[in-house]
Amino acid sequence: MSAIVQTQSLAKTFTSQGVATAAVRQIDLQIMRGDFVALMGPSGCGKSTLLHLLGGLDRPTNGEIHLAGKRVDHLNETQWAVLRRREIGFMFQAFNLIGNLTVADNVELPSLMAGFTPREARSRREALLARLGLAEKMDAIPAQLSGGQQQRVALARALINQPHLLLADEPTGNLDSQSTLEVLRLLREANAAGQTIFLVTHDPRVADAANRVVQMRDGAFVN
Amino acid sequence: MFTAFARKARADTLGRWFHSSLIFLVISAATATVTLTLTIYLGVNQSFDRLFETAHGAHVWFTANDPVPLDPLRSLDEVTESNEPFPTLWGDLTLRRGDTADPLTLWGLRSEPLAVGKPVVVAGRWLAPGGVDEIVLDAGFGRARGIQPGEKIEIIYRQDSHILTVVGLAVNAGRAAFPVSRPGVGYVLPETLERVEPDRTRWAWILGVRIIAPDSAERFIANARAAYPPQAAISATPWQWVRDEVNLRPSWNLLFLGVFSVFALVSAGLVIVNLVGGYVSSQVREIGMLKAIGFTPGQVTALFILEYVSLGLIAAVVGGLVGLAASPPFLAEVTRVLGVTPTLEGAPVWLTYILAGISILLLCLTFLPARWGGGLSTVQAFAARVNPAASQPSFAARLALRLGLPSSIVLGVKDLFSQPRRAMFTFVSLLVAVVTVIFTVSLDSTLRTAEEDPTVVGLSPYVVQALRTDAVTQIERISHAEAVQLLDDRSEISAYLTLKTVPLQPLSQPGQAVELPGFVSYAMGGDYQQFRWYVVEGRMFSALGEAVITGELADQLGVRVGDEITLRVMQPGDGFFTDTGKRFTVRIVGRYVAIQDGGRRLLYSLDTYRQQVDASAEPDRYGLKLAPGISADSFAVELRRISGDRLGVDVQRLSDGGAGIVRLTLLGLTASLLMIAVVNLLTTLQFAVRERYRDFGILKTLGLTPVQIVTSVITNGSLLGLIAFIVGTPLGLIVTRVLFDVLGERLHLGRGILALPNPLWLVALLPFTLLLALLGSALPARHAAQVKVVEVLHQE
Repeated sequence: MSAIVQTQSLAKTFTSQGVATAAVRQIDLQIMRGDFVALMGPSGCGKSTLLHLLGGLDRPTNGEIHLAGKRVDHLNETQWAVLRRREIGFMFQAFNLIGNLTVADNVELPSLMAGFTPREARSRREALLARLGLAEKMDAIPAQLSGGQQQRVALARALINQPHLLLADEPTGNLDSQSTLEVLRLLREANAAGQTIFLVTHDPRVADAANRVVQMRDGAFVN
Repeated sequence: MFTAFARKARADTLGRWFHSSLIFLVISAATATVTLTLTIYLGVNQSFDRLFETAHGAHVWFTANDPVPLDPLRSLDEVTESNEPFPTLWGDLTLRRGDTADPLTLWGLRSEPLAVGKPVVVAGRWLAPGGVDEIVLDAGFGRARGIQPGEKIEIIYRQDSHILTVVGLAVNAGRAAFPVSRPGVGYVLPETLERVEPDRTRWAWILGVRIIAPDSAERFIANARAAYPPQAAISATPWQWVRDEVNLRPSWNLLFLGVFSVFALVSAGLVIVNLVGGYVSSQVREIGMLKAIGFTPGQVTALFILEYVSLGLIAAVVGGLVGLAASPPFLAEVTRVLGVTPTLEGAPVWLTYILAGISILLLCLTFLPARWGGGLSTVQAFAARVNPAASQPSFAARLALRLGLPSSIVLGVKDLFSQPRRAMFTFVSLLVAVVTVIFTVSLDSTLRTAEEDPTVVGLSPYVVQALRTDAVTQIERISHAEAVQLLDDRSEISAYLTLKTVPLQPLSQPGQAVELPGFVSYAMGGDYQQFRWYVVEGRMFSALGEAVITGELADQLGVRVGDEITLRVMQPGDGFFTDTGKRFTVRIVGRYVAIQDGGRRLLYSLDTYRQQVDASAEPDRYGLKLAPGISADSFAVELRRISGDRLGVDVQRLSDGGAGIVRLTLLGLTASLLMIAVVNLLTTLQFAVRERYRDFGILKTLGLTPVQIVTSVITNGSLLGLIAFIVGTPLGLIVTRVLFDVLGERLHLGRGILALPNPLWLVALLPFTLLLALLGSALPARHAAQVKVVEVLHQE
């Protein structure tokens, strides 16, 4: 099994008013294709920062990141954006759907940006939404959906381009128990279908859904 | 409490310096335009009123060829004051100075000031008793020809030369200054007039009277005229005609300044609503904090109002001063037509009115968003998200998606109407900008057309006019055959038309109390078809018995195109015009534009006149079209010289450099309005970007590059620009057309004086509008592209 993500001595230090704070310290991480990794730790330990670094949303202070065998930490913002379109999907605690686009348009958007034709994008979206039980909600806007439904739309959006890696930051943090279970079931299904997932959470029940759990504290792995 | 308010307002204003600067800029520009307009308006009106008061102006000026018939007018009941009739001399009289020879009129006045309508000395002094070698010149004439008190000038009358010393320059409330009113006037003692022309039968006489009801001067004239026999010819000028003539040219300035003022106020209002509304809605959390520390809803509202009204007041003061500073070139136009330099009496008072008006406007525009902010509950305010959830899907975005447009464009379309009210205000602002540009281009096009073709503003189609008879006595000085031979020999002349002056008077109608006044008509021959006639309705005459008429005269006679009219042919000559007993009938086939003779003219062919009235009639004047590159002024001197001064030659001038200032100001005002539109777009997009901050962050996580984000924001702005262009172009043409028609009616030019701009200009307006949109979008687009995803995620 090959590694989808590999980091070496990955570090991120924030400097504010002359005071440097290490958010991520010398992280060596390997995520294999098809893996489902949960990253746990207390608030402020650097979980989200690590996830941002892996998704190219933030630049590391030091270290290397390899994605599907290619070194990517030196990419500029535009190159990262292009890379994310096809190879990385994101889920967030706050869902982060575009408020004035319908469910259908929200889901199709990454596909269209990745260069698929509108017909291909529509076909992918229809299949995904049907699988996620949202076929009836295609024309709704996010504000008309429940939290669980919104997160399912976010999952559909993240998966539409069949990325190498799905990064999920507290995807159940804003959901009730029922919706949490539903989202976890969908994540497991995606993983079973071969989707690599890296999930950040501080909820042990959510972490239980993963194949592997990594603990983090003060910017470093503890296991 | 006030200190707390002031500190907070100051901190807010300085803290958002860019936002404050934009408001400052917009309000300053709008106030400057309004101030400038008002300055010109008051400058024109105040100046005439002041001059009229100083001169103790006459409400009616009567002119006759004999002093005796004027005397009974002085004892009419309505007359409160009058002067004794004084003599005047014109025709065959020129002031020669170097190569130029200007026709001149002399008024024979005593050394004591006139009781009514005295000329007001503005330089030097008035005529001294016994000063028979002295002359006081019309101030406009002196300024135009560079003549100062103390200089000696040469006056030529029937080949006799008279040297006089200019002792002063004066302005006259009874006529506009030279060159607006031609010929120029010189004031001399009656004894001097007698030396120039001892034959008193060649003199005419002028009487000025003041009446009980100045506003009814025209009715007074009609009643006074009715007391004389029908054949008596007395001309009369009410004071309102003079005022209108003085105000005529500044009317152009007032028109476009007025239009720009309205446009500027509308645009500025839209910007302020957008800015204040956007700012207040972006300050929701801060409003919550203010309330938490004890601000009442009313105090929050008052705080926002205080911030904007105080900033606006400072900007208005600066704008007002800029407007005042920009007014001298426009007031110079007033000086040109009136001869006096306007002083801005009462400027502090009306500037205060402007400031009060701007403050009230700001108060109104700020009140609603400020009250909305004040009305938010603290919990609402703290719970509010930076980006409120949209409640409506973007159908435009769906459509763009279905059309397969690039995703960055789809996203731009998506945000286009996410805030419909703000988008609408911005759209209207851009619309005003497009309309302004069309108005400016059309005005410029009309000015250019008028320079190439003076007929569009009612001037003659020929620049040089040659007269072969005495203007007053109609005595022939050179025969028509000689004149024609002289003109035919000159290669400088490419074509000429011939004119015979024919005084006409409408027939008396049974039961008609007051006769309609007579007017001058022209029987035309020669190459007149090679000249352009500005026919705005119907067509130019072509057959015998056909005529074209000016709108003013048509209204007075109550005739329309297609009507037939029969008129009395009058005889000029000794004393009054008299009825020749002959009748002249023409059918009106067209309405054309002319402002000479008070805009009352009738034109027909010489053959028509010969057929009906006098088979041997000959022209008395000639309108010349010169070959390219020939100087009208130089040729006029030359023609006069080679004719042995038997041809009187006059040169028509469109303007004396005023158009350059008008164009420059047009450009400045247009630029100012465009700047306001760009600011409006910029602020709208800036707020849109701020509100979509989170969206941009999300889109970046989905793979949108900075360039694509820039494209989406610019698409947003460009689409607004495109819609404004599509709607604004026809709207601008309609608005401009209506405004020009109104002006045309006011100036007696009739409708249709607008010269449409070259269609290429309109086509070029599209990229120009898009460029404006690009300018307004660039900064917000850059801000959007710089959104940090991590910061967006941290805010959650």
